[in-house]
Amino acid sequence: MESWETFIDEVVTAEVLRTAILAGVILIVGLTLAWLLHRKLRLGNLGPQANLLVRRFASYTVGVVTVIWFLRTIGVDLGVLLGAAGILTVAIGFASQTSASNVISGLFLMGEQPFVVGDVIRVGDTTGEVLTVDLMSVKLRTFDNLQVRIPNETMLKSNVTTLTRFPIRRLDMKIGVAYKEDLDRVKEVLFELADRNPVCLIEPAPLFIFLGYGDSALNFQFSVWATKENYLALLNSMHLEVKKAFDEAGIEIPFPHRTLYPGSVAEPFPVQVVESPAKS
Amino acid sequence: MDDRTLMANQWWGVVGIPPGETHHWRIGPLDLWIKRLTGEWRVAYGTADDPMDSSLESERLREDPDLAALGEVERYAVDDTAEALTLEPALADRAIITRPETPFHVPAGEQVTVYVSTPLWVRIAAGDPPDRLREGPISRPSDTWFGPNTREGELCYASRTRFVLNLENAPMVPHRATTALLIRNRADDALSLERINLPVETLSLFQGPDGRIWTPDVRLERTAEDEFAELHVGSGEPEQAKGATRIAEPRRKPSGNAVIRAFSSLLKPWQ
Repeated sequence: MESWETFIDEVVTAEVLRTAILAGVILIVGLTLAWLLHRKLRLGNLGPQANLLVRRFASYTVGVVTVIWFLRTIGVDLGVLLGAAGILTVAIGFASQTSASNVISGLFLMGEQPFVVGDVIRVGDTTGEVLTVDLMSVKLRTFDNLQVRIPNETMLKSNVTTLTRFPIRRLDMKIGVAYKEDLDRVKEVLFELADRNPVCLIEPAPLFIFLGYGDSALNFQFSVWATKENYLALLNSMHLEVKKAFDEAGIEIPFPHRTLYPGSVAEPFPVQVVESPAKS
Repeated sequence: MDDRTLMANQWWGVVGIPPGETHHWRIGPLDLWIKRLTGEWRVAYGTADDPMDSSLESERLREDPDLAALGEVERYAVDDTAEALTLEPALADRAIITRPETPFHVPAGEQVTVYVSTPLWVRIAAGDPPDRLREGPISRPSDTWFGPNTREGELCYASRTRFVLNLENAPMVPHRATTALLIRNRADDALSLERINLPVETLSLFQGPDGRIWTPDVRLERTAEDEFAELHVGSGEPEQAKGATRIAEPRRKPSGNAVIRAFSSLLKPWQ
């Protein structure tokens, strides 16, 4: 027991105590500062994407400097540590090619900025709002409120459509009418409809494009514009209004009909005559 | 304001509504019902199809109507409903792109004054001093885009107008403001007016002695060799309505010298 006390007295000198306290203070202050920068740093003149990058860069830098300073204070030889880290890096490098690829892709994405935080993008079958653009991945919030993580490498290789990049969008409606209809009359009804819909932009003017003679309909495209905020309202209102206006104008929207023919050798379809309830 | 037919095209002003009662206004295509309850105002509104309807009515309803059956209903909770309810006219909250119904050209060296009309908004305020409850268009104009391409520009409202040359032929619609637009073409070739960007949010409103609602005069000037024409926006009473009363201030002050280069072939068809 006495030997333990003597040992502690020899080891825990004032110098060691001072170093321990200093190291503790560096660690606490440094990490707190890094945390505060990560949580609170907001530069008013920057957008959310740039703010995110600045916040992360500042907090990571302070964190790394804090750890290095802490290690130096407690007497760890960083040269040895970095040497070991070098060897380790080679080993880890082979094992983490995907991660490295994602990081490099992430840097390209951040530099190119095809979209920023808050944009709505479509990647493959996934459409959602960009939550974060990290070094490894982009996180999206889909409209059914799910989070989708897309690796940066995939983002760089895929076709990414930014739906909210430009202030206005075009809605392309593919419509077919019966062969008996007068297309001039159809055009008139559609243009009147676009003119009456307040969220449908007058300019750029709506567009009517004849697509061709279909199997059972004259097919055309009617394109109208709206602001990106009103796109959904336009999408819903125009389709409903077109159906209603066609019904009112007596314009037929045909659908494919199928005739069943049993063949010459088969028995004919049995036919049953029923009386209408109104007449009975 | 309680008369069924309003005097001199004036549908705005202060109305006293006793507790539990409903007041109804018809301002052209807009029907507006406002009901006073304890600690609450209920506003119902509905819009008819004809934007040029110029009928005006203001009446206190004897019976208690079912507002939900009449139109869209909104409720505004307040500490205490005072009797005074104020309607105010205002111009649109975005610029209006006005286009002539037929192509309109001003030959070289000519100067003409045309009259264009733009839709008004109605502001509802309650109490004394009045607190704003809501504001909205009497007839909602369609949106339109004004800019050099589909990537840059500004969202505006669209309005078609006949570009009337004689004031007598300009219909006096109580929910539209008339603007006298002086066009000077000092260039060597004809000026084709396809569209004009009227920055109505920077204009005040006046009521002339005959009841017509005016904005200050606007001057469109094209100098020689200039592809664009410059729009100079005035701030005082219009020349055509001396002694007019100012009835609404502009929503915002015009920036700079109020000269706007916005016009004509700026917009191309984009497909």
